[in-house]
Amino acid sequence: MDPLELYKNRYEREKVARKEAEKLLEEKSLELYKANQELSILNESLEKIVRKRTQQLKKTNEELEKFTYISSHDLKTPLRSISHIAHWIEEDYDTESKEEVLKNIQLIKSRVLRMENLINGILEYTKIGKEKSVPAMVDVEQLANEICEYESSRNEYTYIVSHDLPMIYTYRIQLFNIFSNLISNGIKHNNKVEKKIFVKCKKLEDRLYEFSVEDNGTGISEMYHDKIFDIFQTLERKGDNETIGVGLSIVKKLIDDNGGSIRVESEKNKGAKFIFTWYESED
Amino acid sequence: MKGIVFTEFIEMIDDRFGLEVTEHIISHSKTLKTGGSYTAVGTYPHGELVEMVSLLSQKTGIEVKALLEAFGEYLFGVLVKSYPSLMEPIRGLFDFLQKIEDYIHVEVRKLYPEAELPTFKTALSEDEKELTMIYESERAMVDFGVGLIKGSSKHFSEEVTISTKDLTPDQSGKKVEIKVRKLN
Repeated sequence: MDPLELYKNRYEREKVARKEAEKLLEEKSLELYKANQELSILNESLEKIVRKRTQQLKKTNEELEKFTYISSHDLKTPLRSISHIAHWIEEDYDTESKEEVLKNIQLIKSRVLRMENLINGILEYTKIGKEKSVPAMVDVEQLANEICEYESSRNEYTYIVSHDLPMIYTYRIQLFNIFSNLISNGIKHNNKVEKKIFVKCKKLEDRLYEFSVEDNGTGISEMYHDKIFDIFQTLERKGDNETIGVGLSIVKKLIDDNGGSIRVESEKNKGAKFIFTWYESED
Repeated sequence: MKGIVFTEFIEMIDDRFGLEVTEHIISHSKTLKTGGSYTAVGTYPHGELVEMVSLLSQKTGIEVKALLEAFGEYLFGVLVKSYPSLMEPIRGLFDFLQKIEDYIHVEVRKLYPEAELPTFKTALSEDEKELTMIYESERAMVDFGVGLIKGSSKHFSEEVTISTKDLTPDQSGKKVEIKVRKLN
């Protein structure tokens, strides 16, 4: 074959191959460009998630620190009392009458009981969120009425549950726990002759509700509006074994875990209104 | 089949038999869709290579098996030069052969998701002197694979003997046992 013809054929083939390669290169560049854009978007959303998670972690850490501080501090108080009383008994062993010693032993027992209540409170608080329940349709009006009726069998009071309370897809046990705590608090911390409870609701947006539980009781000074949601914070006199101050901290944790928030509107002796937001679960 | 196999096959014919032989093969082929124009980054039907190898065998009088082996050996050298990073973590011939399936082919698929690759299951003898490989591919090109093994043996300077046994009842060559034994 003529060498010129040979090279000409080769040249033609190489030209076609080059064009094909250029086309493929162009396609690959476009693919890369698109992949790069998708990666940028993904990266941005990942960064958002990381920021959100970091914030959540920071919050959880702060809560944990606070929780550890408060619970160890509050556990130390009855322990210190026990130590003091034991010391008195020891010191006055020879001089004290039997009745006095027995009275002191009784005091120790009451401190031990308080400690037990505090520990039970810690256990109850830390249990929140560990037991997974399944969402279901919940008639909130019916749920609030049930709680109010139950409470009225123990205390005398009047209650008004608004008919606006919705039927929502949510965790029944959690919502029950919240309303139950808020309603019983409203009755417990009430010195009026005619005790009253109002339960209302406002739909804020799709799947988001604002519930409120209002009473006409003793009210809470503004300086305590944040503190009352911390564990073991009670405005009652310490040593009262029935009130250890876990209820509102549990209520807050349940609401936080569901993405909502809680606040209180109140003035001393003018009743209290607890307002919280609650997200309906997704199907 | 990846374009680099075609472009390198033509390079090899150019080098070893001259441009005229290449021209003869391309002009006598009947199935070449692009008329013998290949780019390394393209993908082409495997049948085109089979036809060109067969025509080369007719033209040169060398058996298809020998040509495929020679080409495999030649191509290994090219691939090592083109993708040196792939070979970095490899410690020797058997290490390489055992990693084809789980490392080399995994990396190849990242670059070319559409690549259709043969499978190589491997088993090393207790004395670690013999590696048994089970080759499986619809393309039945074990001789090409043997050539690649020979190329890798040269690359790692490890002398071996290679024997093959067709495991299919109809001797189709789609499943073949390859035994690679070290001489030292």
